Amino acid sequence: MAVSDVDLDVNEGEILGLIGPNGSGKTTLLNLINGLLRPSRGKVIFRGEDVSGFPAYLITRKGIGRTFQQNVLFRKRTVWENVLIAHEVNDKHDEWLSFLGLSRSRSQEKEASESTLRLLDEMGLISWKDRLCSDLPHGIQRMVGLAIARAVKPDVMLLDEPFGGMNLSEIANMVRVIEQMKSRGVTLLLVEHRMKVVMAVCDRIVVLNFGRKIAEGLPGEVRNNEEVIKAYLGDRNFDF
Amino acid sequence: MNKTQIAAASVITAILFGLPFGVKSQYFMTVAIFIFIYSILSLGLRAMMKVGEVSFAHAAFMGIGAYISALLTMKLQLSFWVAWGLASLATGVFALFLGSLAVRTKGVHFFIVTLAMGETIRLIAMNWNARLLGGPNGIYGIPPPPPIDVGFLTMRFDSRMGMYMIALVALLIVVAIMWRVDKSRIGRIWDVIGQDEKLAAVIGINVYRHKLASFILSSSVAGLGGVLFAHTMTYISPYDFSFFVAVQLLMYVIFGGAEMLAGPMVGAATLVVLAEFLRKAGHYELIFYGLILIIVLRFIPEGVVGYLSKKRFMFARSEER
Repeated sequence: MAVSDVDLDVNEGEILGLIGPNGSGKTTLLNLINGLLRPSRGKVIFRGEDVSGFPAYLITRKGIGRTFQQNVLFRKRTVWENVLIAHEVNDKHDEWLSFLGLSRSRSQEKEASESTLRLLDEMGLISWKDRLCSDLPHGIQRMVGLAIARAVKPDVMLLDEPFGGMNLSEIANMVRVIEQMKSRGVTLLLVEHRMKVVMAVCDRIVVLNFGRKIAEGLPGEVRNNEEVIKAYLGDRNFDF
Repeated sequence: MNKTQIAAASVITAILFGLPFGVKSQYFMTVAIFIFIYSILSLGLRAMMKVGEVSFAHAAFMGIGAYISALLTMKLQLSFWVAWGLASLATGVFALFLGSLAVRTKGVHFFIVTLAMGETIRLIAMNWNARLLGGPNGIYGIPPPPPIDVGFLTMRFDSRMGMYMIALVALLIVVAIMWRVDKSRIGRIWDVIGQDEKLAAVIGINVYRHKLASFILSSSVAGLGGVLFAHTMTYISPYDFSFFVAVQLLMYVIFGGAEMLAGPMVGAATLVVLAEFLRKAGHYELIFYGLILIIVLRFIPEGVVGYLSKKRFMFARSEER
């Protein structure tokens, strides 16, 4: 069992950091929350509603978005197309109107393309918009992954190692975007290896090890927790 | 579509409508009819390929349309026009039931499941109720479409020319539907499902529902094409809808390229004509097919149309600079 007896509360509007050594079950937990995996036991409660075992697309429509640890993108399409489709899917109008090419759907298509451009501009991606995703540098791909997730307009965002493999200026840009999301009322659950960033960005931190929660608290408290230090000793990512 | 494309499409359409008035050869007309029918079938197959799956039951769905229409016109004496619509719809209903099982799988598993479904359907046609379905001998004497009388003008369809016109109009209708699919949000959704199913689900797409819709559209179009096939041939048997026919249709799509709407049609036209030239080679024909497939997949995996359009774009871009 990859994750067991993890009891986790995410408060509205906060950035909760989820850390732990490799293989401690962080990604599995995200997969359980957003429906890519079905929990064999336990529950996922979102705004008082039991959403455990819902398929991923329904979880997304309820308002939980996510990014991936690897760069999961529609690789053979441009940045603009990637973000546009995510916008369009979550327009409330029916796609069959779009099939008939009716004027109401036309105006909504225009809206989607405008908000796509706005989002790309905000995230510093506008100059990349016509490039194929497969041709982008790693750091930009990670940013596009987040842009796709943001286009869905989630209330809660699950970020799986957003800083993975990024250089310093890319990290700075990502931190800026994360703080921007927080200021707009998005609740964030941040899974990350890089302790320095986690300590700087997160309001609260939960530590997992071997699929169990071993600590929870403010960044300062977690940093000095005996068990956390023990769990991380010997891990090459240990760089407080 | 830009102005050049609209102009090109109109010119081609006009030529195709005018052709039978200039060319009197029955043989030529028959080849043209089969190009239209196989274009329809390949366009149907491409609809499913958009969501990233290849259905090997496609030939079987073509057969379902063909058999249903043959039975409706022969046993119930329904008009061809009514039977055509009913048979296409019925094929869609079959696709709904079989598809709701098949689209739960993907990739190799989808291939095996649809292969098994297709062969099962064919074996049912071969063995079940021979008095109705004719067993391995199939059904003979399928009637041509009845004439349409609009007072001052009577249109007859019992000639090659009549069938040519019907098949051409049917192809144009299918092209129009597929063009709208491509241009609309549905097409974009199917496209991203084909590229990454997991990400598609995570941005809120009901992958199962869209794959099923694609399967139903794809199969109904196969049924529609199958009806034309039956009434053109006037004779059908289970052998006309075997696994090899499904492979043949797949080749048309791969040869022309699945990305663009023109791809499957160019593929069908080229390979049907080529097959006529290779007729003398008999069973060796398959070797040529195999060679062509290997060459296309190795050197232009995006298909002939995909390759040519990419070239054109490159020129256009360099001119802009």
